[in-house]
Amino acid sequence: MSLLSIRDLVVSYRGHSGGTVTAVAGCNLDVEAGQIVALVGESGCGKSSLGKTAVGLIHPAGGSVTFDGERVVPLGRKARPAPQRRLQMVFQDPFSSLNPRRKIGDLIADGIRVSEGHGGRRFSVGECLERVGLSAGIADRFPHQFSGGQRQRIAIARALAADPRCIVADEPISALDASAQASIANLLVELVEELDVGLLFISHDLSIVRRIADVTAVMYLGKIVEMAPSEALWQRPLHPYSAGLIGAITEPDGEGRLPADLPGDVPDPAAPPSGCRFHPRCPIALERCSVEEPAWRLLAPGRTVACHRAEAALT
Amino acid sequence: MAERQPLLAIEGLTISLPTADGGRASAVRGVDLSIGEGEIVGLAGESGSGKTLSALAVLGLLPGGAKTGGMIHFAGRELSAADGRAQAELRGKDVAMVFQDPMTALHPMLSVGRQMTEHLVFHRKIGRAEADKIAIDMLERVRIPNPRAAMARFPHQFSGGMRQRIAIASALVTGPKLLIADEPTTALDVTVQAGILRLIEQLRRELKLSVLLITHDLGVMSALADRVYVMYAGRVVERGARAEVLARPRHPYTRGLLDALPHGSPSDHPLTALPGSPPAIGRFPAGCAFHPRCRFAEDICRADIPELRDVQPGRAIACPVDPLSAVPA
Repeated sequence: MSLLSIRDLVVSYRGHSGGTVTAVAGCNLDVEAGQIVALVGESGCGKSSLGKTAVGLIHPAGGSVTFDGERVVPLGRKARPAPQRRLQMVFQDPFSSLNPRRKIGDLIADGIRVSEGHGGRRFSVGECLERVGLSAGIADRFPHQFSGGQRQRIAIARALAADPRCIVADEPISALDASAQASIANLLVELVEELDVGLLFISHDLSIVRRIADVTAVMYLGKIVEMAPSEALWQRPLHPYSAGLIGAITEPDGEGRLPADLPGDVPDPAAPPSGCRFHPRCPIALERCSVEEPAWRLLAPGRTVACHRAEAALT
Repeated sequence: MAERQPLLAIEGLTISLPTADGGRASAVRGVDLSIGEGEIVGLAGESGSGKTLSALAVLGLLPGGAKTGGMIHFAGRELSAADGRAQAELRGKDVAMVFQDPMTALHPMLSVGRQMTEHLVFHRKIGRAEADKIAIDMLERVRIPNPRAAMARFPHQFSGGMRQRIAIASALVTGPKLLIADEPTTALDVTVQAGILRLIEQLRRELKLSVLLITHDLGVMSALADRVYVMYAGRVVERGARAEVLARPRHPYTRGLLDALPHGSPSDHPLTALPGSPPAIGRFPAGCAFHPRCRFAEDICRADIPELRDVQPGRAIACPVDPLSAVPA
């Protein structure tokens, strides 16, 4: 069994008018030790809900999350079972995820305290800071004294302090300047290799995901529509939505190429389209696509996709 | 490009802002910029580089307490950067602006029709029926489905991409010659961004619109801009044709920004982070403000603020070392 294993996961919220909105509508995903799995999709597709449920911050409405062979217990009044503290999370905005009134050293010490009793290593604050490229001497300072990129390093150091075996990072670089994005992305890759942790990297940015993730899962309106090794997905997407996402990316090459337009908007998740959820925006949809939901199929080694027309893209 | 009279020419623009301790801090330190008719000019830079302030100065929309210097020429007319009245006129007629977040740029409690025509009635002194007609035509042009019905709806009833289209339509009803677009797609998903970029290109073609495109995203820049200005710490550090600046950057800062971005195939370009972070206004380093982050910096860089100098026709950089002149792309 995988280190982190998500099965048939359903997450729903109560909507404005009393109905339910299903943000995650039955997803499967696995993360192995030493592996970076990216989950990409546009805003509102349910990727953050999936990530939060994976670490136990949200109660799933159905399905399960298993970490290291044990079912993940959603956070409640009682302390988390010690082994599950080795599943950690890094958030998008390092300006709100670090308490501004506490010193860096105290923030990291919280993470170290979490590691008590779970059988992992116990680090010192200095070790944690140095591992993310910061100096041990900053422990007495406060978050506001650091730039966005440095703060995200501190947030990562806090997650590492618990000696995690798996980290879920929700858009960990998208709030940062371009130069800081590259350095945090590189840092995460190094840490995964060095510490053999699993990383679920949630992002809207396929071009960065292609650089760092081993496997990429593409999510649309609550469903994972394609999963593949990242470079293969980039070179030859099998789902028309993946192709649309890739085509819309702008390249800073100076060539003056306008990105391809994917017409239409993401539909309301409270009332998803019938059949394949992507069919109203799909350039190659058939009549069948509006009626019959496509099955999740293995089409080539390592390549799974939910699309009636995927064979066409393969040949 | 230099032969013809530019539509907008900014010369020696300086902007200083009041600081918390009662002093003043230079935010824009001598910027020259020109835009030709029907030209899209990109202004790139990280937060604090002064790119948005420079644009706001053209419109006279700087925050209170800001002091400006330098000259602005628009369509052959000369106005000083401090002339509020002339700028108000410019704002209503010839220059319009689109902001990053269409949800905050549009008034949430006014119908689309009302906010699109209010300024039109005010500036053009025309009747409501005529104003409505102009607004509906413009909504159609930016491809809002069923524009007549859209006039009666409210901003929250539209998606982010549709809202940005409405904000653009609203900016264009007075028939401006220049559109200033400040990070117009930064808050949007890539597929929606693609639609807005295509729209801006279409409007430039159809309306012979000039566009000042402000963005930190060099991919967006590469898709739309004819010429690019790169700003750092309140100064232009590189200027030139899009293909030249982005494919063969010559200033170390431009090069550093591009190296930090994922583009091309992973084996060609490992992601290389630029060390440090951009300096905040009021804390610009002496000499070349980029020198603490520059791997080519020499003594001269710490001493003198480098002038922007022409290195090729239409191409200028502010770097005395010019270490990338001989580097192949």
